[in-house]
Amino acid sequence: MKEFENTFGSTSRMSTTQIADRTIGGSLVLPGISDFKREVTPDRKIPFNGLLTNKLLASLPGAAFARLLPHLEPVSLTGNQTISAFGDSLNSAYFPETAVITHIYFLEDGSTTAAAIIGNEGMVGLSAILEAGPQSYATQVTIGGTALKIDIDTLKKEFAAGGPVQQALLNYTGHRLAQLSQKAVCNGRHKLEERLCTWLLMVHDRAGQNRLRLTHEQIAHLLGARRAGITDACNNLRRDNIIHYRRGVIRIANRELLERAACECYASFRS
Amino acid sequence: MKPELSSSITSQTSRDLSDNVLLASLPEADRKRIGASLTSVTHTLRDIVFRPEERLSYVYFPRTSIVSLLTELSDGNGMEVGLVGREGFVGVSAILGGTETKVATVQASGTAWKISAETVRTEFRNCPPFQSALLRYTHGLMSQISQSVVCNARHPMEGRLARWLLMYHDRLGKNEFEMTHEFMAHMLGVRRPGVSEVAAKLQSMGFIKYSRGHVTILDRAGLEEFACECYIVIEEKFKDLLK
Repeated sequence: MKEFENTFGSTSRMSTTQIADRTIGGSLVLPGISDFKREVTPDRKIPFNGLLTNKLLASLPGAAFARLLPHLEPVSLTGNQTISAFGDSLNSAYFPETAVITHIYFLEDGSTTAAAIIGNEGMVGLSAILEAGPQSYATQVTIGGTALKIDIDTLKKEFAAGGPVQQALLNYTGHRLAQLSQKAVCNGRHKLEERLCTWLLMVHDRAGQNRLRLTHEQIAHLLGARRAGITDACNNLRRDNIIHYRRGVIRIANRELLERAACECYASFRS
Repeated sequence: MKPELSSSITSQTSRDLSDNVLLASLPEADRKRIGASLTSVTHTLRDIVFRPEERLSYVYFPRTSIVSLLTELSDGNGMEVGLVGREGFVGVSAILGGTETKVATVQASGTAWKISAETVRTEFRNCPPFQSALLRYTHGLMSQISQSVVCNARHPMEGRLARWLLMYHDRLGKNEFEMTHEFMAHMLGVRRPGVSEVAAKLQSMGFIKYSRGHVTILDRAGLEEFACECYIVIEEKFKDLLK
């Protein structure tokens, strides 16, 4: 944490380009929280499972999917793995299958908050498709799992050609904008416990498992909250037998009650 | 909120597209062709441009007007998530497909170019510079909304109000303006009486003068220094567009 403050916290008004320059130089050390690694970890290749669990890919017409298929490479992503660091530009896009991936923003005071949550409904790499420059966030794996990876230029070419791939990615952009807008109002208006429930449901929907490897500290960094607040909220949910929590693993015990305890935003995220 | 968008045609002849940055960025031939499909309309304060679940028939490129994007909750409360002025366009769902999810309300009266959503889609498909400009703006809007996600979770209200005032000021280019109480309450996610309290703080620090919705920016540099970091992050994205 200290190193981070020295290089970043003291310069209170730095443009993102300046920040990006620093990052590329390798001198910027992001928050010294063990959960958030600066180094980008190489992806582990795995054999193709033949199941098409990513809904965005599954929505493509056969011919369009067949064009992408030879370029899709199955990978296994581990929890807390950094896919791209702050200030990087993506070389690959990812279509998650069971992995849950998050965009993490770093604030001047050393705190972090997550914005987009991406799972089997979507894709990581939209900013490259939309012709944006270096990212003002880090892309990290929240729940380990599998994804299909594709070279960003190959996907860009397919997008530029128009047709169903372009249409699917534009639709997904609309979906992402809606998710982010709802999350903005949720963070501004709703109680932490409701927000936690909504977030757990979103993660649970996307993860291929019921055992979510998440510490309270990690959740606090993702929700932009204090750890103590997360611990209180988790204890309440545990007391009501909605979740079980043991040694850094959350298990959803009663999904129906969890849905009832969530704010209205969950319904909006799901649609 | 008034239900109707009282757009009225003010000019059929003027085809100077330089006042909207996206349109101005197009090569001349494209600008001329697209320009022929534009109508200049007046946006009046509090006009609703669109509502959630609306399928858009028209898209607007603000010239001097400013439109805010609000996400509404079922209890009628909501929060501002974005601001669109001459650097952008209103109605991204026209190119992304589907329906709108936000409420778009005019927050500064002025003029805008109106164009049919169908024409926008045709040009988006056939004109690469137009497609590229709209995509880059869409990403800018996405960054702006993402920053609101972070800002609303973490930052104190005074810094947030300062950020919105700066964003509004950048798009308006005037030091004195009317800002509705309701708009400010939605920026901050508070009840209306809370607004005066937060505004009074910025006034006591000498950054603004505020009285009954009338805002005067007195110390822009001071306001920038005081605003939360989100201002810099957001405006960096629009830097090239807002020049």
